[in-house]
Amino acid sequence: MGEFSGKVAVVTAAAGAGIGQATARSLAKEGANVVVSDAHAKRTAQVASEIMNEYGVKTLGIQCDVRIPGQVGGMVDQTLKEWGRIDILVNNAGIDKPSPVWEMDDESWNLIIDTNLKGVFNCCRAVIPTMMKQRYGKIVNMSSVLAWLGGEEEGVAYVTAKAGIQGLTRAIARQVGQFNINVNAVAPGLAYNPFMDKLQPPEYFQKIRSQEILGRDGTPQDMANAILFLCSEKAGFITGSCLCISGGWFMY
Amino acid sequence: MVKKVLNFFPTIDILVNNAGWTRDLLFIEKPRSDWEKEIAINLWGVINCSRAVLDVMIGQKSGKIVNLASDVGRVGEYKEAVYGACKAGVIALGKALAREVGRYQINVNSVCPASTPPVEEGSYGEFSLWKEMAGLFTPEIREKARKAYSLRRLGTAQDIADMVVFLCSDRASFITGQAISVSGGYTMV
Repeated sequence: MGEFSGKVAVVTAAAGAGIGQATARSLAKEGANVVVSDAHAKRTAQVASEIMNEYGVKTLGIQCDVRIPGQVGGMVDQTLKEWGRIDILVNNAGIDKPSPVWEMDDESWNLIIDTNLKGVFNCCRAVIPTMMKQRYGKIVNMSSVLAWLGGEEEGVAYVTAKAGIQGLTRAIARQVGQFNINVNAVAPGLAYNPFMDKLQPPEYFQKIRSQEILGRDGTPQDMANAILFLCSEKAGFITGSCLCISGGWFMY
Repeated sequence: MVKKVLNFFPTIDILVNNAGWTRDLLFIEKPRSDWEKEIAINLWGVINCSRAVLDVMIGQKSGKIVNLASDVGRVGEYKEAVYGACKAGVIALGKALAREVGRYQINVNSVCPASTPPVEEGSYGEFSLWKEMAGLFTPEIREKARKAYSLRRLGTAQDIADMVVFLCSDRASFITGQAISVSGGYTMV
């Protein structure tokens, strides 16, 4: 029996190389049945089947663009049809197109805000009525150290969205606490995966590494560990909090 | 204390600075002796214990220190002025130490509870601050307090212990210098 046996967890952007897949795998390892949600159809199906085979839990691979309420609603409907409940929602989906503020076009701003911020709202709004009926639910949203620090190399829309997620987390936590639903955020520092090398030059990582006082990069697993803790019964009295996991880069 | 521990065990892996004390009184009504006791226990206590174990932990190149701070140290509270100042001090102390000893793989974090009243009369020790304060938590007050929390319940000692244990575990090895509220949505800082 794992810590999350019998629970149903939805993890968005769970088919990539980062925090989402690490979280989906960790939940499955502890016995949860997992909805692997991602915008990429092929990887979604592949990761869902890998997790099912590796951990012996039930999985659903559902292609979903979190920007589109209809697709989010469809994902929730399909999950409820299969399993009848949703205990855990991890809002991990995010995107950035780094550019200075004076070069950022409307299209990029909208894409980033819609994915990172409105996507979290869309998923929360779709899942919370079920959690209210259950009188049980755990939601974890992905903020970032950049919400406090700003980012010289990162997009302003990304930083804005990640700060917005903290406000959204507190606002929702206040409203749904009475239904025994915990809503928290985690704020990762660098959760390094090799895919990131395609997005940023080596100097970008060196600058961050000089701030990581524990002398190592964070990993997707470091973040998954904290997300699992926040979804566990051990964190039952924590809501509206933001847990910063950055190896000392930022101290909240 | 540290010498005694080292007589029995080869290492000190974890220090939980839990000792604390206060008595709820308005700042202008509180005698200086109470402030001094608050600073001695809540702030000097953490400084003394941290100082005493750090040589050991630095030698080991590993260690976990968890301080029991308080949401009061982040938002302030009536009748807890100097206590809150101490708790704010504990948070800053933890962050400074985290910066200084991170290179030795020592994690230093603070946990910020809200009010964590004893579950029942007598479930606290002789020197507990609750000896004087527990009487304040009548069933009516508990009921009123409960509603001030988003989760509609008061915290328990176990709620706090669970976070302390998490922070001491390998699963939290990338978390350092943080102040983390376990307070049912009381402050949400």
